Amino acid sequence: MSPNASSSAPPRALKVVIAGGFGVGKTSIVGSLSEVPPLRTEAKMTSASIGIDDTSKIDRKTTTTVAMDFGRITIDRSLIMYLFGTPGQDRFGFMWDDLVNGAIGAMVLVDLRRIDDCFDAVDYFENRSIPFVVAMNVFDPAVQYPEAVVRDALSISDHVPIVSIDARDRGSAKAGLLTLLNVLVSRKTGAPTGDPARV
Amino acid sequence: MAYEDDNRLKPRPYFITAGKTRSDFPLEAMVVARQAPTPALRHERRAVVDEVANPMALVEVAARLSLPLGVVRVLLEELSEEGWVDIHTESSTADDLDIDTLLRVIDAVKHL
Repeated sequence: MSPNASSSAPPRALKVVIAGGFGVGKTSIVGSLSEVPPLRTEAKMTSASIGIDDTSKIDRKTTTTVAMDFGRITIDRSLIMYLFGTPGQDRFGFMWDDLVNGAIGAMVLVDLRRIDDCFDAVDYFENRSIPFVVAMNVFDPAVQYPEAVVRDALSISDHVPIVSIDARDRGSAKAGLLTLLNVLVSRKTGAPTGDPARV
Repeated sequence: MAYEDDNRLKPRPYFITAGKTRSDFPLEAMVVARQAPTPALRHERRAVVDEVANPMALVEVAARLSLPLGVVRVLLEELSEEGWVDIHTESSTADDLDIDTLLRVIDAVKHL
C-alpha cells in the first residue's frame, strides 16, 4: 500500500449501532466482530425517552452517564468502523441520540423468547430513517419462528431484512453485518436487497 | 469503574485539563498526530499524542487511556490548537458513503 495514497484521505469513522433489549447478545456480537478486545468508556449521553411506561406523553430528554462497550474493525489506515452496543442496564430500550447521530446503520438484536424487548429500537430507527437489519439471536434452536411470523410480530416492512445469527460466532455475526452493509449498497444502487454473499 | 478504582494514583480530571471543561466534538471524531511528540509534551498530553500515531476515534483514545471522555476532549482541543494533532469531524452517515467506499468496507468485513 502506498503511504501517500492512504495518508491523503482524511480519516473517517463509520459508526454501527448494535441495539436490542437487555441480555440479548449486544456485547457478544461486538466481541465477535471486533479485531481488538471490546473497549469500554463512560460518557454523558442524552437519551430519547422511548419505551418508558409513561402516560404523560411528555418528550423527556435525560442526560445520564453510561458505560459504552465498543469494538473496532480497521478497513484501512484512514477508515475505521466502530461497533457500539447501546448501553442500558434495564429492560427498556433506551436509545442514545449522541450514539446514533451520524451512524451508518444499525443492527437490532432480537431474542425470540422476549420479542417485545426490541420494539422500541425498531421504532426508533424507523422513525429516523436509519438503515437497519433485524438479527434474531438464536439462543435455543428449539425456539424458532418463520421469518414471516417475526416480521408480522414486529410489523416491519419488507425492505428491512431479518436474519438468524449466533452472536457468539464470528462467521454468523459477520453475515449479519454484511446484510446491513448490503442494505446500504441497495440504497445507493436502487437494487433490491438480496443475498449479501452476492456483493 | 476502573478510573475510580485507582484514582489515588491519578490527578483529578480538572487538574489534567487545568480547569477547562469546554469542547464538544462527537465521540467518533477521528484524531491523528500531526507530528511526533517531543520531550516538551508531558504526562497525559504525551500519552494522547503517542496513542494517535495512527488515526483513532476520540472514544477509543479515552478508553485506551482510561480517561473520562470530557477530559480527553479538552486535551485534544488544546493539542489541536498547539499543532500536535488534527481532529476530523466530517460526518459519515449512510448517505455520505460512496459506493466504492462501501464495497471496500464489505471486502474488509468479509476478510475478518
